Amino acid sequence: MSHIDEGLLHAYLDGETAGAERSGFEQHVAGCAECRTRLEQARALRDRSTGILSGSGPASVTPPPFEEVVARSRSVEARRRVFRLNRLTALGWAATLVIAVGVGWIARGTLGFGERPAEQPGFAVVDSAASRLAEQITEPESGAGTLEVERTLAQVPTREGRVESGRAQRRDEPASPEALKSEAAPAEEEPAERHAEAEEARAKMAQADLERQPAAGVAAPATPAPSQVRARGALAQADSGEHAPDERKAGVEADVQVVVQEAAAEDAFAVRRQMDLDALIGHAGEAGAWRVVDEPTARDRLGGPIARLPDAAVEAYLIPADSERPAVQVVQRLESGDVVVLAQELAADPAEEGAGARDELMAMNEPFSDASSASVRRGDYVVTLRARLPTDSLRALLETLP
Amino acid sequence: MSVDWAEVYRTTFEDLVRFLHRKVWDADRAKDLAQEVFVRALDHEPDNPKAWLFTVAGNIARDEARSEIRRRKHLTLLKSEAAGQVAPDPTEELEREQRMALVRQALDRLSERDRDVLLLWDAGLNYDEIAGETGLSKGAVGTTLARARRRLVEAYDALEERDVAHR
Repeated sequence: MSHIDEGLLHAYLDGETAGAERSGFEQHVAGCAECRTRLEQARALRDRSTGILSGSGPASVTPPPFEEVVARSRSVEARRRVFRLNRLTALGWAATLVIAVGVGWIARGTLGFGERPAEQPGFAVVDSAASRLAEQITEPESGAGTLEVERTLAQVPTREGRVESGRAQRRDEPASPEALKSEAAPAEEEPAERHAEAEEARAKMAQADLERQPAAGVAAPATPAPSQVRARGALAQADSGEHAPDERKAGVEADVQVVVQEAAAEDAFAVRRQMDLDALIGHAGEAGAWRVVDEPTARDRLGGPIARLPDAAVEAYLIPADSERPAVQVVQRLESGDVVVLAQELAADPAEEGAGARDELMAMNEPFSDASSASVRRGDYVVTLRARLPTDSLRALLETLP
Repeated sequence: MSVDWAEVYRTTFEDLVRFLHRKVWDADRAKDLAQEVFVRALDHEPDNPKAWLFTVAGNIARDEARSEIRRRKHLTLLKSEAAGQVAPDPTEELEREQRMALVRQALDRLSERDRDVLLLWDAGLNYDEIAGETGLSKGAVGTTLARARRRLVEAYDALEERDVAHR
């Protein structure tokens, strides 16, 4: 009979064998001097390892009263409700903006406000203002952390349906694949949609305006300065109330000229941006910091070719900042605009006694983000793909690796 | 299924802190995070509290580690030094800190999977639970654990030797 493998020796020592397995084990050890020796070695190793770890724990732990946790849980729930509303309004303000400019445009056209001719393309102005806003907000601070915001802004032509999908998503609740898909709607479609929606909004507003007295706010300038565009974002952020669509339209007229401090909107976007990319970046050992480097440096660190998804732009290469571990993460953006992170590191042990094969395609959902991951073994490396996409898609993407 | 959370809290909190401590290396932070995990647990009310707690703790620790990127400073190290200075017995405290730093470096040399399995075992999870956490088969847990222990001991010894030679 062959000797007992090391895993089973440890399982036995850990009290994780039972019944026939345990008695078979003991029988074998009784008659096999070599396995007895190995068992003792394994025991010594186990004790040593336990000793090392026990020397590293916190001195003593006194749990705070459970009531404290209960109280915190309640306040967290309250905070989360506010946060969700904020997110909703963050998307909602974009719709507000489009409508507001529409109002201004119509006002000039039908009511004679404004100096310039009515054919002035009001919507193009919004676009450029919004894209200027995008530039300001996405100004890179760490090189890699800017991606999600752009996508949020790509949603500027907010349809109610899309606002809903934004609301349905919570960080700690995986979004439904439909929600993710709709959020990841290709950017190319948008200009056409934007105009269609704009036309619709314009038509509606024109009718509404004809039916009642022109409101004061209708005199809004058709070409809002960027600061005003941003002010609206701040306003939407500051206001945690949930607007019904009608209220929102009415609110537009009143708040067109309101200037609120700009920082609030940027903060809100920064938080969201950081959260989204964070959910995708794997941890790099205990210290956990990743550093953005250029490709040759990343390749040197990994000690081999870096896997990349074809047809996806590389946004950044990251390596562990606090250790020499041969690991690399490549941040890539798919054509759909989705950001994925491709982590690769030298596999622990090529002869992982079958574990490698079993884990070859392991996917799991991380309970605290709507990010999923899938891994594949490629030669000596384990490649893990993380994205806010269904795991099926991740697997399919992994198969496209060259 | 209703879970007696007060009881789970009483029996698991300490293990959770130990587990988190090996990830964030700061006793106070580990304690805060453990509490945070329970706060979330009360919100979610998972059916399998222990597995859920450790999964979430792992994720929180990961988030925590990532937030270090943004802060761009090594708070833990600074704090450790500060703690060493104000401790009642500086020599003893210093030794403890040094030992902890060694363990930390040794654990850092393990693969992520090996380290996770080892720390989960150390935190009191059994093979079934570890298998559930990591996606490994139960059989592979023993193998992984054996390898992780061997690597930890080897790395620790090597680091210790290097430190001695350094002095």
